[in-house]
Amino acid sequence: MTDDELFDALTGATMVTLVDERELDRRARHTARRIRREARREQVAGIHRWWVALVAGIALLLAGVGAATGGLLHREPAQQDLVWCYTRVPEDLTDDTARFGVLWVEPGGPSTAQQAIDLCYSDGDGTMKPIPDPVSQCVLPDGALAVLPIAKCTDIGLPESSLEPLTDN
Amino acid sequence: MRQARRLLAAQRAEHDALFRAHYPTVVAFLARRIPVEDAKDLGAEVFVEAWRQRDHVIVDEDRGWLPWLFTVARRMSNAWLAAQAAAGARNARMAPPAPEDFTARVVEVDAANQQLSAALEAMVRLGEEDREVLELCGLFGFTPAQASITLGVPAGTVRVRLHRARQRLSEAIDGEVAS
Repeated sequence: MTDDELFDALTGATMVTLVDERELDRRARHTARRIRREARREQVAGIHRWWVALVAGIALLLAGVGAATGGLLHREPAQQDLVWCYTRVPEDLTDDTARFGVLWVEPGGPSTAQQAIDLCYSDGDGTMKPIPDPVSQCVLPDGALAVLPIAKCTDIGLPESSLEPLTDN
Repeated sequence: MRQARRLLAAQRAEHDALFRAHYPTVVAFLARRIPVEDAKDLGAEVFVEAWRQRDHVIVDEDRGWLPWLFTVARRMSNAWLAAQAAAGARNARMAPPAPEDFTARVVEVDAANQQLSAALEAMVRLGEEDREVLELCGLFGFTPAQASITLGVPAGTVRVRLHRARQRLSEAIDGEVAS
Protein backbone atom coordinates (compact mmCIF):
# COMPACT_ATOMS: atom_id res chain seq x y z
CA MET A 1 0.00 0.00 0.00
CA THR A 2 1.50 3.36 -0.97
CA ASP A 3 1.69 6.23 1.44
CA ASP A 4 -0.49 8.27 -0.94
CA GLU A 5 -3.30 5.73 -0.67
CA LEU A 6 -3.03 5.65 3.10
CA PHE A 7 -3.00 9.40 3.41
CA ASP A 8 -6.00 9.70 1.08
CA ALA A 9 -7.83 7.20 3.29
CA LEU A 10 -7.08 9.36 6.33
CA THR A 11 -8.23 12.57 4.69
CA GLY A 12 -11.42 10.86 3.55
CA ALA A 13 -12.28 9.55 7.03
CA THR A 14 -15.59 10.57 8.55
CA MET A 15 -15.35 11.92 12.06
CA VAL A 16 -17.49 10.44 14.80
CA THR A 17 -20.02 12.89 16.22
CA LEU A 18 -19.01 13.03 19.84
CA VAL A 19 -21.23 15.99 20.73
CA ASP A 20 -24.92 16.01 19.83
CA GLU A 21 -26.96 19.18 19.28
CA ARG A 22 -28.45 19.16 22.76
CA GLU A 23 -25.11 18.84 24.48
CA LEU A 24 -23.60 21.47 22.19
CA ASP A 25 -26.37 23.85 23.13
CA ARG A 26 -26.00 23.16 26.85
CA ARG A 27 -22.22 23.57 26.78
CA ALA A 28 -22.48 26.70 24.61
CA ARG A 29 -24.79 28.32 27.15
CA HIS A 30 -22.58 27.28 30.05
CA THR A 31 -19.45 28.58 28.33
CA ALA A 32 -21.22 31.82 27.37
CA ARG A 33 -22.09 32.34 31.04
CA ARG A 34 -18.46 31.78 32.04
CA ILE A 35 -17.25 34.16 29.35
CA ARG A 36 -19.77 36.77 30.51
CA ARG A 37 -18.32 36.47 34.01
CA GLU A 38 -14.80 36.75 32.59
CA ALA A 39 -15.81 39.82 30.59
CA ARG A 40 -17.34 41.44 33.66
CA ARG A 41 -14.19 40.71 35.65
CA GLU A 42 -12.09 42.25 32.86
CA GLN A 43 -14.31 45.32 32.86
CA VAL A 44 -14.05 45.74 36.63
CA ALA A 45 -10.28 45.28 36.45
CA GLY A 46 -10.11 47.88 33.68
CA ILE A 47 -12.15 50.39 35.68
CA HIS A 48 -10.04 49.64 38.75
CA ARG A 49 -6.86 50.31 36.78
CA TRP A 50 -8.26 53.64 35.56
CA TRP A 51 -9.18 54.65 39.08
CA VAL A 52 -5.77 53.77 40.43
CA ALA A 53 -4.12 55.74 37.63
CA LEU A 54 -6.42 58.69 38.23
CA VAL A 55 -5.88 58.75 42.00
CA ALA A 56 -2.11 58.35 41.55
CA GLY A 57 -2.12 61.18 39.01
CA ILE A 58 -4.06 63.50 41.31
CA ALA A 59 -1.80 62.60 44.23
CA LEU A 60 1.29 63.36 42.16
CA LEU A 61 -0.19 66.62 40.98
CA LEU A 62 -1.05 67.66 44.53
CA ALA A 63 2.39 66.68 45.76
CA GLY A 64 4.00 68.68 42.96
CA VAL A 65 1.90 71.75 43.62
CA GLY A 66 2.38 71.41 47.38
CA ALA A 67 6.10 71.00 47.06
CA ALA A 68 6.41 73.96 44.74
CA THR A 69 4.35 76.27 46.92
CA GLY A 70 5.41 74.90 50.29
CA GLY A 71 9.09 75.37 49.69
CA LEU A 72 10.03 71.70 49.57
CA LEU A 73 11.61 72.13 46.18
CA HIS A 74 12.94 75.58 46.86
CA ARG A 75 15.69 75.95 49.42
CA GLU A 76 15.11 78.64 51.96
CA PRO A 77 18.31 78.46 54.01
CA ALA A 78 17.15 80.37 57.05
CA GLN A 79 14.18 78.05 57.44
CA GLN A 80 15.98 74.79 57.02
CA ASP A 81 17.26 72.35 59.51
CA LEU A 82 20.91 72.91 58.83
CA VAL A 83 23.36 72.35 61.61
CA TRP A 84 25.99 74.99 61.68
CA CYS A 85 29.50 73.61 61.62
CA TYR A 86 31.89 72.05 59.17
CA THR A 87 32.81 68.38 59.46
CA ARG A 88 36.30 69.51 58.57
CA VAL A 89 38.03 72.82 58.24
CA PRO A 90 37.53 73.89 54.67
CA GLU A 91 40.54 74.77 52.60
CA ASP A 92 39.25 78.19 51.75
CA LEU A 93 38.74 79.12 55.37
CA THR A 94 39.92 82.61 55.95
CA ASP A 95 39.20 85.20 58.57
CA ASP A 96 36.48 86.38 56.37
CA THR A 97 34.84 83.08 55.55
CA ALA A 98 35.43 81.69 59.00
CA ARG A 99 32.74 83.95 60.18
CA PHE A 100 30.35 81.62 58.41
CA GLY A 101 31.83 78.37 59.63
CA VAL A 102 29.25 75.69 60.02
CA LEU A 103 29.13 71.94 60.54
CA TRP A 104 27.24 70.54 57.64
CA VAL A 105 25.64 67.25 58.53
CA GLU A 106 23.56 66.78 55.45
CA PRO A 107 25.01 64.25 53.00
CA GLY A 108 26.39 65.94 49.94
CA GLY A 109 26.58 69.27 51.73
CA PRO A 110 29.01 72.01 50.74
CA SER A 111 32.68 71.21 51.08
CA THR A 112 33.98 74.74 51.08
CA ALA A 113 33.19 77.70 53.22
CA GLN A 114 32.27 79.70 50.16
CA GLN A 115 29.74 77.09 49.05
CA ALA A 116 28.24 77.12 52.50
CA ILE A 117 28.04 80.87 52.42
CA ASP A 118 26.46 80.81 48.99
CA LEU A 119 24.00 78.19 49.97
CA CYS A 120 23.14 79.19 53.49
CA TYR A 121 23.56 82.85 53.81
CA SER A 122 22.31 84.07 50.55
CA ASP A 123 18.83 85.42 50.84
CA GLY A 124 18.13 84.50 47.29
CA ASP A 125 18.78 87.99 46.12
CA GLY A 126 22.52 87.83 46.75
CA THR A 127 22.42 89.58 50.09
CA MET A 128 24.56 88.08 52.81
CA LYS A 129 23.45 87.85 56.36
CA PRO A 130 26.21 89.11 58.64
CA ILE A 131 27.43 86.80 61.35
CA PRO A 132 29.20 88.42 64.23
CA ASP A 133 32.77 87.55 65.15
CA PRO A 134 34.48 85.82 66.72
CA VAL A 135 34.46 82.16 65.65
CA SER A 136 36.14 79.32 67.43
CA GLN A 137 37.12 75.79 66.58
CA CYS A 138 36.14 72.60 68.31
CA VAL A 139 37.08 68.94 67.97
CA LEU A 140 34.12 66.76 67.16
CA PRO A 141 33.71 63.21 68.53
CA ASP A 142 35.01 61.74 65.28
CA GLY A 143 38.14 63.88 65.44
CA ALA A 144 37.10 66.37 62.81
CA LEU A 145 37.55 70.04 63.42
CA ALA A 146 34.58 72.29 63.49
CA VAL A 147 34.45 76.00 63.21
CA LEU A 148 31.67 77.45 65.27
CA PRO A 149 30.15 80.82 65.04
CA ILE A 150 30.03 82.30 68.51
CA ALA A 151 26.66 83.78 68.22
CA LYS A 152 23.14 83.23 69.24
CA CYS A 153 20.87 81.87 66.58
CA THR A 154 18.83 84.95 66.57
CA ASP A 155 21.97 87.04 66.04
CA ILE A 156 22.51 85.42 62.70
CA GLY A 157 18.86 85.54 61.77
CA LEU A 158 18.12 81.84 62.24
CA PRO A 159 15.43 80.13 64.21
CA GLU A 160 16.62 78.85 67.58
CA SER A 161 15.97 75.20 66.67
CA SER A 162 18.33 75.24 63.73
CA LEU A 163 21.40 75.33 65.93
CA GLU A 164 22.50 72.18 67.64
CA PRO A 165 24.07 72.45 71.02
CA LEU A 166 27.81 71.97 70.58
CA THR A 167 30.59 71.88 73.04
CA ASP A 168 32.68 74.92 72.64
CA ASN A 169 36.30 74.37 73.62
CA MET B 1 -18.03 53.23 28.39
CA ARG B 2 -21.23 52.32 26.53
CA GLN B 3 -19.22 51.77 23.39
CA ALA B 4 -16.79 49.48 25.23
CA ARG B 5 -19.71 47.53 26.62
CA ARG B 6 -21.22 47.18 23.15
CA LEU B 7 -17.89 46.02 21.76
CA LEU B 8 -17.59 43.46 24.52
CA ALA B 9 -21.13 42.22 23.87
CA ALA B 10 -20.35 41.88 20.16
CA GLN B 11 -17.18 39.97 20.97
CA ARG B 12 -19.14 37.65 23.24
CA ALA B 13 -21.72 36.97 20.53
CA GLU B 14 -18.92 36.28 18.07
CA HIS B 15 -17.30 33.93 20.55
CA ASP B 16 -20.57 32.08 21.05
CA ALA B 17 -20.85 31.53 17.28
CA LEU B 18 -17.26 30.37 17.29
CA PHE B 19 -18.03 27.88 20.04
CA ARG B 20 -20.95 26.37 18.18
CA ALA B 21 -18.93 26.11 14.97
CA HIS B 22 -15.75 24.59 16.37
CA TYR B 23 -16.51 22.91 19.69
CA PRO B 24 -17.25 19.45 18.21
CA THR B 25 -14.00 19.52 16.22
CA VAL B 26 -11.99 20.65 19.23
CA VAL B 27 -13.54 17.81 21.27
CA ALA B 28 -12.65 15.34 18.49
CA PHE B 29 -9.08 16.66 18.56
CA LEU B 30 -8.89 16.30 22.33
CA ALA B 31 -10.61 12.92 22.37
CA ARG B 32 -7.69 11.51 20.43
CA ARG B 33 -5.53 12.18 23.46
CA ILE B 34 -7.74 11.96 26.54
CA PRO B 35 -11.00 10.26 27.57
CA VAL B 36 -14.08 11.60 25.78
CA GLU B 37 -15.86 13.03 28.84
CA ASP B 38 -12.71 14.85 29.90
CA ALA B 39 -12.26 16.02 26.32
CA LYS B 40 -15.71 17.60 26.43
CA ASP B 41 -14.94 19.47 29.66
CA LEU B 42 -11.50 20.52 28.51
CA GLY B 43 -12.95 21.53 25.14
CA ALA B 44 -15.16 24.10 26.89
CA GLU B 45 -12.15 25.30 28.88
CA VAL B 46 -10.30 25.81 25.60
CA PHE B 47 -12.89 28.38 24.53
CA VAL B 48 -12.74 30.23 27.86
CA GLU B 49 -8.94 30.32 27.57
CA ALA B 50 -9.29 31.43 23.94
CA TRP B 51 -11.48 34.30 25.13
CA ARG B 52 -8.81 35.38 27.60
CA GLN B 53 -6.15 35.27 24.88
CA ARG B 54 -8.33 36.67 22.10
CA ASP B 55 -5.88 39.53 21.46
CA HIS B 56 -3.16 37.05 20.49
CA VAL B 57 -5.22 34.85 18.19
CA ILE B 58 -3.79 33.79 14.81
CA VAL B 59 -6.67 33.58 12.35
CA ASP B 60 -6.31 31.42 9.26
CA GLU B 61 -7.99 32.71 6.09
CA ASP B 62 -9.64 29.40 5.37
CA ARG B 63 -10.17 27.66 8.72
CA GLY B 64 -10.55 30.77 10.90
CA TRP B 65 -9.71 30.23 14.58
CA LEU B 66 -9.55 26.43 14.39
CA PRO B 67 -5.79 25.91 13.96
CA TRP B 68 -5.16 28.34 16.80
CA LEU B 69 -7.84 26.71 18.98
CA PHE B 70 -6.01 23.43 18.43
CA THR B 71 -2.85 25.12 19.75
CA VAL B 72 -4.65 26.01 22.97
CA ALA B 73 -6.25 22.55 23.12
CA ARG B 74 -2.92 20.85 22.54
CA ARG B 75 -1.26 22.82 25.33
CA MET B 76 -4.12 22.22 27.73
CA SER B 77 -4.32 18.51 26.99
CA ASN B 78 -0.56 18.19 27.55
CA ALA B 79 -0.97 19.88 30.93
CA TRP B 80 -3.94 17.62 31.70
CA LEU B 81 -1.96 14.49 30.82
CA ALA B 82 1.01 15.65 32.86
CA ALA B 83 -1.25 16.30 35.86
CA GLN B 84 -2.87 12.89 35.49
CA ALA B 85 0.50 11.16 35.19
CA ALA B 86 1.79 12.99 38.26
CA ALA B 87 -1.33 12.14 40.25
CA GLY B 88 -1.16 8.52 39.11
CA ALA B 89 2.50 8.23 40.04
CA ARG B 90 1.81 9.83 43.43
CA ASN B 91 -1.14 7.62 44.21
CA ALA B 92 0.03 4.30 42.86
CA ARG B 93 3.75 4.92 43.36
CA MET B 94 4.32 3.46 39.94
CA ALA B 95 5.14 4.72 36.47
CA PRO B 96 2.18 6.16 34.56
CA PRO B 97 0.74 3.91 31.85
CA ALA B 98 2.00 4.32 28.31
CA PRO B 99 -0.03 6.88 26.35
CA GLU B 100 -2.95 5.37 24.51
CA ASP B 101 -3.89 6.22 20.94
CA PHE B 102 -7.52 7.11 20.62
CA THR B 103 -7.55 7.93 16.91
CA ALA B 104 -9.94 5.16 16.04
CA ARG B 105 -12.64 6.38 18.34
CA VAL B 106 -12.87 9.80 16.71
CA VAL B 107 -13.16 8.33 13.22
CA GLU B 108 -16.05 6.37 11.72
CA VAL B 109 -14.42 3.14 10.62
CA ASP B 110 -16.21 1.40 7.84
CA ALA B 111 -15.23 -2.27 7.91
CA ALA B 112 -15.06 -2.23 4.13
CA ASN B 113 -12.54 0.57 4.13
CA GLN B 114 -9.47 -1.55 4.69
CA GLN B 115 -7.07 1.22 3.83
CA LEU B 116 -8.44 3.48 6.55
CA SER B 117 -8.47 0.67 9.12
CA ALA B 118 -4.91 -0.20 8.23
CA ALA B 119 -3.82 3.44 8.38
CA LEU B 120 -5.40 3.93 11.79
CA GLU B 121 -3.82 0.78 13.16
CA ALA B 122 -0.44 1.75 11.78
CA MET B 123 -0.70 5.23 13.27
CA VAL B 124 -0.70 3.69 16.75
CA ARG B 125 2.79 2.37 16.12
CA LEU B 126 4.19 5.71 14.99
CA GLY B 127 5.86 8.30 17.18
CA GLU B 128 3.89 11.21 18.64
CA GLU B 129 5.34 13.71 16.19
CA ASP B 130 4.35 11.60 13.16
CA ARG B 131 0.89 10.90 14.52
CA GLU B 132 0.28 14.55 15.28
CA VAL B 133 1.11 15.77 11.82
CA LEU B 134 -0.82 12.95 10.12
CA GLU B 135 -3.81 13.65 12.29
CA LEU B 136 -3.82 17.38 11.58
CA CYS B 137 -3.17 17.15 7.85
CA GLY B 138 -5.02 13.88 7.32
CA LEU B 139 -7.97 13.55 9.67
CA PHE B 140 -8.60 17.27 10.17
CA GLY B 141 -7.63 18.28 6.64
CA PHE B 142 -5.24 21.07 7.58
CA THR B 143 -2.78 22.45 5.07
CA PRO B 144 0.87 22.53 6.23
CA ALA B 145 0.47 26.28 6.82
CA GLN B 146 -2.56 25.70 9.06
CA ALA B 147 -0.85 22.84 10.90
CA SER B 148 2.12 25.11 11.44
CA ILE B 149 -0.11 27.47 13.46
CA THR B 150 -1.16 24.59 15.70
CA LEU B 151 2.30 23.10 16.10
CA GLY B 152 4.12 26.41 16.37
CA VAL B 153 6.72 25.46 13.75
CA PRO B 154 7.32 26.81 10.23
CA ALA B 155 5.17 25.43 7.39
CA GLY B 156 8.29 24.02 5.72
CA THR B 157 9.02 21.94 8.81
CA VAL B 158 5.46 20.60 8.75
CA ARG B 159 5.88 19.62 5.09
CA VAL B 160 9.06 17.69 5.88
CA ARG B 161 7.49 16.02 8.91
CA LEU B 162 4.42 15.09 6.91
CA HIS B 163 6.47 13.60 4.11
CA ARG B 164 8.45 11.44 6.54
CA ALA B 165 5.35 10.50 8.54
CA ARG B 166 3.59 9.29 5.40
CA GLN B 167 6.58 7.15 4.50
CA ARG B 168 6.78 5.71 8.00
CA LEU B 169 3.05 5.00 7.98
CA SER B 170 3.44 2.99 4.80
CA GLU B 171 6.51 1.21 6.18
CA ALA B 172 4.64 0.38 9.38
CA ILE B 173 1.93 -1.40 7.41
CA ASP B 174 4.41 -3.18 5.14
CA GLY B 175 6.35 -4.32 8.20
CA GLU B 176 3.17 -5.66 9.76
CA VAL B 177 2.27 -7.55 6.60
CA ALA B 178 5.79 -8.98 6.28
CA SER B 179 5.81 -10.20 9.87
